[in-house]
Amino acid sequence: MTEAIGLRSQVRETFLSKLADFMANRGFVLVFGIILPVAVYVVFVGWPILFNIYLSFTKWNGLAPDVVFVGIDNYIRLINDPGFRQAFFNSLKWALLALSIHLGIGLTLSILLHSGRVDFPAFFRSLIFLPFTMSLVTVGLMFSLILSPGFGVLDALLRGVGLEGLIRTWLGDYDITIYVLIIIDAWAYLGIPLMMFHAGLSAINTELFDAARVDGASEWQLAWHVTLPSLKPVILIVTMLSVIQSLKTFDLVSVMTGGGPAGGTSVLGHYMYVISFRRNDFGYGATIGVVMLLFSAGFALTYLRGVARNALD
Amino acid sequence: MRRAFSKAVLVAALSTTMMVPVSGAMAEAVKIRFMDRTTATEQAAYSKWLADTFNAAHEGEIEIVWEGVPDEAYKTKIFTVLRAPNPPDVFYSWEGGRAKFLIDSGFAAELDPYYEKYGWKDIMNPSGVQLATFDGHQYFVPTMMAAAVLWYRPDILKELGLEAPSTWADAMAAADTLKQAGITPFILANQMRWPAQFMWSALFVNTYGVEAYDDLIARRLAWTDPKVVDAFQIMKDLMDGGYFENGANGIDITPAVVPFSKGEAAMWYQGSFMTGRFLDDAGAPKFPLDYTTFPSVGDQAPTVSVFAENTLMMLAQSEHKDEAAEFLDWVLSVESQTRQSNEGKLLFPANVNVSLDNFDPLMQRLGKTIAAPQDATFMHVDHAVPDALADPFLDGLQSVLVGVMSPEQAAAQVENAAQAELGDVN
Amino acid sequence: MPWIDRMRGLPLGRIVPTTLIAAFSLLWIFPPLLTLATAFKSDAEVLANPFGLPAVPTLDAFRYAWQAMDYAGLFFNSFLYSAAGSAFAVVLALPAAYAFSWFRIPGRVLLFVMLLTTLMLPQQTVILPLFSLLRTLGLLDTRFGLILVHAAFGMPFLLLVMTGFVSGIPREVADAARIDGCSDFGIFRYIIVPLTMPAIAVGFTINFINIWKEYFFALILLSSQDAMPINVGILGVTNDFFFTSLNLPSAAIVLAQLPLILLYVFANRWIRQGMFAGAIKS
Repeated sequence: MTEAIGLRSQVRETFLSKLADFMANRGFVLVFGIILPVAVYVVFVGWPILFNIYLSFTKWNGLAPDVVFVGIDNYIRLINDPGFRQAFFNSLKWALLALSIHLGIGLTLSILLHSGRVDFPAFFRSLIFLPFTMSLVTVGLMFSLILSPGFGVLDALLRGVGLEGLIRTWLGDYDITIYVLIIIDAWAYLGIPLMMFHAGLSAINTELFDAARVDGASEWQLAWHVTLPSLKPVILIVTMLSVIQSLKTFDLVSVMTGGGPAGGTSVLGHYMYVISFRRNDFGYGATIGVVMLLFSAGFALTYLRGVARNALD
Repeated sequence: MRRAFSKAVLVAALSTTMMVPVSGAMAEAVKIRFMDRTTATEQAAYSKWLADTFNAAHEGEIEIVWEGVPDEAYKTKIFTVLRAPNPPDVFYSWEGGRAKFLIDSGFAAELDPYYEKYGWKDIMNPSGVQLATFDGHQYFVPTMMAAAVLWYRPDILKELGLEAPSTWADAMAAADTLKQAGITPFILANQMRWPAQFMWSALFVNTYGVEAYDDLIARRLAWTDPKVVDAFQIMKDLMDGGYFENGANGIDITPAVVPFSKGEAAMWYQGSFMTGRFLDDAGAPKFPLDYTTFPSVGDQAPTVSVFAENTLMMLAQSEHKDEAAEFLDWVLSVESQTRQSNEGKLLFPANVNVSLDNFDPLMQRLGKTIAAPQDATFMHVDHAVPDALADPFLDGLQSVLVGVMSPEQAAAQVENAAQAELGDVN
Repeated sequence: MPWIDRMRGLPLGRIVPTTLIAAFSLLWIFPPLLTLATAFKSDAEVLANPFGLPAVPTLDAFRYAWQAMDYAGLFFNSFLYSAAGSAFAVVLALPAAYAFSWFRIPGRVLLFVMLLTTLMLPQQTVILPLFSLLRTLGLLDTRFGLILVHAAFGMPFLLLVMTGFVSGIPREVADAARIDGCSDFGIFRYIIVPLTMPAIAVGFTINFINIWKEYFFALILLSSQDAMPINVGILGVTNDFFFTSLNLPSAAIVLAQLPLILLYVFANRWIRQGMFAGAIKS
């Protein structure tokens, strides 16, 4: 008789007696399996989330002992703060553009690599996955060298092929620097959508393809009518991960531009840091943290419910 | 039994002969924790020397426990240590807005009794005393002074028949001549956002007077005031008119020394800390160099910006304030300050009795300018106001120069931050 | 893809798409290879031959970067944080994985989802309270404080990986032991832990890599130079002196990346599968 059935037979007993029984029999499981991890969660994650929400209603410089309650002042500030607006729209830009690269290039590449018409598909997948093992700090430094004005390799390449006209101050041009960072970010992350789509494609029943081929469908029609619909769940997962990933963005911006020039690459994750640690405004910084929490929570909870069901059943 | 006994006796004898005198001395020496911001190798060595030399002279009485924290990490470190167990008794503090931040947060000891006891006001740079005073009380000691001046290339100006400008109109006329000759009139080198504020602050003060500037800093004047917008506009006009180097917002001060040294640019309004990049190892300029104060605008006499580059505070909660003050007095002594100028390569001394005779004539002149009592002086914006205003100000100024914000928008951005940090204009 | 369709059956049908993909992958492999090549060049050669392989490979840049940036200390810290942080996380997560997958604890789905929220939580939403908490405990700017934080934030990922694994262990394996009078702890100790070893190894390795790559916590929760991990310490190369040459920062980047590259080369399949399983962490 398994434990699960043994426990299930006690369902009619009251919750309290069930708990008491559980305590007596399951000390190790209860203490080390449940209480300890939950306690660690509460101290390092749960309480900080709540305390951060509290901080968002206060004015605090992070150093002085006094934390002053100011109601919704910080939230009113958000609406009138051009710096926040700039960071918000930059984050939006980042999320949308990164997502289109992850989905567009990721899907196309995966389908090609899976089509059986490319040799060594696993090798190519490994190559594209490689940057993901690098930290974004080293990725940022590496591209800072490649893009540096004067002696950077990219400018030298462009000059070498007679395209001097295209040379820009890649990391100091208000109009283009954010796109440069987004592309580098997508470059470093593309391995993940690629692996996910690969798994999704491998799971598609090949009989579907065979049947469609018998009906005379072209490869294009196959991709559109068979592959894409079967990949829908994977596309959803990639979308959620990609959006959350973009929302958190900090490392690349911090290492490569510090949010500049003139706030052109300021994103929410970095603006929160600037407000808190450069301007010593922990209350307002916490408010931006709460905004990030709200955006991520919607995506995260939907996704995690699926993950949890999968892992537990 | 016998062996155990003799062993115990031996241990007791050893501890009485060896341990007691040592531990007795240890118990007497008061430990003062000293945390300094380190910027360069020579400066760090000087800071460590301060502690070591003091310790040697006060053996068994006071022991300075030195810790150097690199510039970039210093600010977060201060946030960490002041609220943690065992905070430093003496620490680097900045002036102006950041100093006020530490005072308001309750960590800075009032130093009036020690200013009195050691007579610091008599030996200290007069501008320094003024800077250390908040609401009539002194809260830090300046240890190194600086000024912002208009550096220029005398050879280039002379070649074009020009003189060092004494009025802003002269400066603009000279700039036009320079531009026509293909020479950049002013270096801005504003990649790191802070350099451009020197000129902004000087333009504001010399156009509208130091009282208006004091009002702005003390929140008696709104940041959306037309005067502020106008100062942003002047900077924007200079930028758009081609008076700064190409790509002025994409180059940092160190690489910008190259075009200046080659004579491709003629003037540079910037702090005296630039001397480290302008002088050779012997302390003489690497290229023809001179300075003048910021030109007067209109009919007002020019106001020079003299400020404290390095400062030290005492912890309000320190249990050994007298000993800490003893150390501060040592830092301000002629011996220490002379060494700071020579070996530490840090100009200029906060103690006016330090001789500058063995310095280059140009540096001697600048030293005298800084040590002279000023009618009025001012700090550039990011020293004067707290970080909560300084950061959006620097962002706004760069945004105006890049062309993504209008002067009005930049002014409104700072005003918003000031509203949140300091409340309404009073 | 219609163009592929048309070429079906032709010998070119494989060569053309393969070449195209190869050209595209070059974009991914060129920057790291370039950095690697530059690191082995002398200053003069970087200028003369920026793109090619080093004609006279030299280790000077590595030697210089290692000493000038105190890489020995940085490496020690990074290894300490990654190894200790992951080890603590394993110790926390393994009994939890056992509890969540083998016992019908009331409210377990809710608790499980709650623990997993950590995976998707932007660090910015908790950093200010964490900063203040660690400061109150006197753990701010200490190695131990950062290890604790990494353990707490690494635990959910390991929980996810190991719960999937532990719930796959057939219950019959434990039944015999239970009849022999084995307690829950006994079953955990003598059956679950040995059988879960592969998952522990994968989880530990990936968590190790994640902590090595981590930047935000280390940047904010540490301020002493001698406690910095390599991922923060490496920023020393951005000062004027280093960034005016290309080979020194390149060498610094390669060195910082070396342990991860080695792990990736030797445990490639493993890591990719594990990372894929827990991609949410990244």
